[in-house]
Amino acid sequence: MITVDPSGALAPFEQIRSQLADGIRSGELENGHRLPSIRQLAGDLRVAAGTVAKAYALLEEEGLVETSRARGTRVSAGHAHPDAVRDAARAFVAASAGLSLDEALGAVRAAWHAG
Amino acid sequence: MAGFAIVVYAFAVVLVVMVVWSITHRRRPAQLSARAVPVIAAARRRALIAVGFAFVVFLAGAVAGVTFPSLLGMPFAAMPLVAGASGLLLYAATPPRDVSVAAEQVRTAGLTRRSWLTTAPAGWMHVCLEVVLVFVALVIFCGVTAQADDHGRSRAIGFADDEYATLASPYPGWFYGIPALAGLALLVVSTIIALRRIVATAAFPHPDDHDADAQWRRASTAVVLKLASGALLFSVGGIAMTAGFAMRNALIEGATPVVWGVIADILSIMGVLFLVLSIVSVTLAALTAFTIGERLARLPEPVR
Repeated sequence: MITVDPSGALAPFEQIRSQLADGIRSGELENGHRLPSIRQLAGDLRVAAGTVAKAYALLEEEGLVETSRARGTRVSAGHAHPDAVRDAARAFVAASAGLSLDEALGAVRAAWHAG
Repeated sequence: MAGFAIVVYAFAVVLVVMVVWSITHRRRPAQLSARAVPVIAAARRRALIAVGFAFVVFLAGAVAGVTFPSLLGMPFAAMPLVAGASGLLLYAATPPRDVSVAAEQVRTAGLTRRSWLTTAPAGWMHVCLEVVLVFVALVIFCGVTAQADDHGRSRAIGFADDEYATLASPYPGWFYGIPALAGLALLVVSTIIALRRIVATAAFPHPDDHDADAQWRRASTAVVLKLASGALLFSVGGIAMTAGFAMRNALIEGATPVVWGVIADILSIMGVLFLVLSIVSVTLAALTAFTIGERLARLPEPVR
């Protein structure tokens, strides 16, 4: 499930791209998963087809998805975070109860730069 | 008098289906959000109009078949299929009502690809495919076994021995088979168009309406397939019954191989059975259309 907030700071195509990228890297969208057609996703999110097409094109540039006429747009293999990273992320989220997402990400950034 | 009796039997079948439906299904109170109610009501209306329109076209075809004997019953061969296709094309041509979304409202969407093959109920999809196979096999069998009538039209069946030759008509040879196959092609295309139209309709944008969205989509595809099945079953039933009766009339006692008598009886029984099933199928289509948006549950098994 992805969400588009028209009043959000990010452009709709970037909101779509980032949520799909996160879903692929977290393993929520498995290797080979077939994404909805551009028309379906654009219709469901009430955005222009070009917005979804742009998000898909950027994901393809990053190598996260593969698009072919016959097979549609599918998640490419080998982009999910390792299990250890996912487990650590889950543990971190559990330990960050009471923090906002920005605050929690700030803690990660600080630890990242310190390390 | 026979026509009146058939109408009474048809109404009896409809009544029985409605009674069984009301006994085996109970309606749970609809728990739809206010934003989904008008969309579901429009979906229900759209499906009911499609079923009603198909029925009207079918009646018009039946009247034409009776009124114009010079057509030699040709309208009966393709009309059930054309009627079903008309209802489905009207359904596909009717624009679905969309949920109104404010410009600043947050929207959500699932990440599963919808297709008409995955949305449609598997059971009714199987019914449709199997009846299509029976239909094609029956038309080919009748076409191959048919003979030309006095005017050279493939609409008779006959047998001969050393002394006698018989010819019975109408028999659903190629004279009726070709229009029936054209009608079948039209119905298949119309069904696919209607199913694709359901799949292409935008989903409800609010995550709380996810179940309601899945329900109306599933129920609507079921209506389409039940209507298509009804049209197919009626056509197969009519062809089988006509073929069975003509074959039985043409048999020469003691001269024609027994197998033809068996085939004639099987076709006659199969014809009546399929005609009854077609009425059941169309009635179920109307009942399903009437209950789009309502959660239906089978009654729990009685405690023993």
